[in-house]
Amino acid sequence: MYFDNAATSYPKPDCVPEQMVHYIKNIGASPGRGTYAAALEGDQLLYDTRKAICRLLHISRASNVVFTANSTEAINLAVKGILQPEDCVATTAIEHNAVWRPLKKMEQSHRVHIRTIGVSSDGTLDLAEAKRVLSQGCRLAVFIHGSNVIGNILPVQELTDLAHQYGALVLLDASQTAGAIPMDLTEIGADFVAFTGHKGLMGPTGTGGLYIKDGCVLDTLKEGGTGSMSVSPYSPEDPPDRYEVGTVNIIGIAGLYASVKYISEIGVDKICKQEQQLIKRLMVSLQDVENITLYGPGEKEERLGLLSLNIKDMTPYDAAKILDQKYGMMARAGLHCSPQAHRAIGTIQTGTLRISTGWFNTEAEIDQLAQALMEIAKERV
Amino acid sequence: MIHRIDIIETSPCMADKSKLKGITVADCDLTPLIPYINAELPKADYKKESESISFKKGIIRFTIMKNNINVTRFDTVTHLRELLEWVMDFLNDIDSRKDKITPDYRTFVHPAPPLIYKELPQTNCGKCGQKSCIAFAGRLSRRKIDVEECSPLFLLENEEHLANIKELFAGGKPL
Repeated sequence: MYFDNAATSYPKPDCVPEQMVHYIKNIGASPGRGTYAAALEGDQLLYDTRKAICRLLHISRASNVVFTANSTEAINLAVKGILQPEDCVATTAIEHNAVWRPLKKMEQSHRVHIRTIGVSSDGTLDLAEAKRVLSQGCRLAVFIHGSNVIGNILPVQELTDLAHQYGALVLLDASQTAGAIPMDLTEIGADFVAFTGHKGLMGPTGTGGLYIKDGCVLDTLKEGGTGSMSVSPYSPEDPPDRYEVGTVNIIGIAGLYASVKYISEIGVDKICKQEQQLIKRLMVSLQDVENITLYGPGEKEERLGLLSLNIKDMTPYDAAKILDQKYGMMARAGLHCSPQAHRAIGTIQTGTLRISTGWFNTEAEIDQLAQALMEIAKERV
Repeated sequence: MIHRIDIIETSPCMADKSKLKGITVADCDLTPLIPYINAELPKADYKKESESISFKKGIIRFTIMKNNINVTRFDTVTHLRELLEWVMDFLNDIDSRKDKITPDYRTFVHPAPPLIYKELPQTNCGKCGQKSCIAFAGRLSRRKIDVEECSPLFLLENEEHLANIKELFAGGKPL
């Protein structure tokens, strides 16, 4: 039983590998690199995938979607394409290393000043604290949309409005939320949104992207062939070609196209509701169990389909090992690449055991997991 | 009704190497629609002999002949695909309203530039963006510039000259 969907979704819908195999076997060509039918078909698929993502995330133009290898690359592209030496950047205290490390690198290499918006011990972000930090002025504000450790969802629309009010550009890290919760990027109004294809979007690893709002131009992270404007020694000026250099991962994008279509047919609302109901069912089962500590928002509050917990006098690694070896259940232990979030909730020394649900998990599986965790905790009494 | 438009080829624009041009093909013959497009777009350039029409959306030029839709001055292939979606919707909208549109078979007439120049202020003020009134006359003859770009021509004192210019274009699509 798989409960590590916040790391990567599993299993993938059947249409994902089917579409990928179809592309490898029957199309094969590099999109945008030829005028023969197969290359044009590949290019059409690339475009159709952009459009499918636009519809899902409420983005107006396909040119606004730039494909990257993952969220991390998208975040690096935005952070390093915006920040100049001595700039100030604001961010939250619960960011993933995908944000935190590029910012720390920019602190080292470009003397960028990082201002952190603190959170409470359950991970809740206070808008007054955000205002205090943002009002000091910064070029860029980076917000995680949903925490991969705590499971809370940040008020990103209010944060974006605040940041814009004080003249900052906004980069949203939607790694845990794209495809997992309903999202309207036009309404949120962020200037850049990084997303991955293999978590909530249920696509293959190696896919992801950056939404770039009309009129926003980034410095390039990489330069190379784009299949367009080849006579020029410089990168094209316009997105997406400006940022998509080298042959794109069209096999992965073929799978992503299938998964986004699959999600659209079911509806993000329905998927979100199911994943949240499952995690809340688990919370209800575990909330009064002796020796088990749950982290993050309560059972009645809005949260992602993930839950961090610890069992008294047991490392999360040991708990994960028992779950795997004794019960055949997969869950992730440790810091989840988010030491900042663990510092915020006081688990930096131990980490946590994280349970994250997906579309293919069932109530029966959740009940078996709850039973297993209760048994493990009972042995500690 | 167009259901799909396929890209056949893209290459750099001759006039502006920073932009691209593309040859695309619709899944139906667009010839019967051309007089209706001409009626809807007063500034479109309809060519009766070749049964083609050319029109602009911003800096982008579309030229339609039979199944072909040629597009110039776009930025990327993704941009071209966005433009093709737009033009497909635009043409299908015209097609759906055909019974309410009177087809227009008028073409542009191209008066000799000296005849236009004779009626211009001849001050070479450059307000139209051209270097001289002769250059403006040449572009207006080919309908590459709007007459409204020559703001002095619209002063009361030039009323008769403006009327004379409009007369030069009589018989074809009006200015």
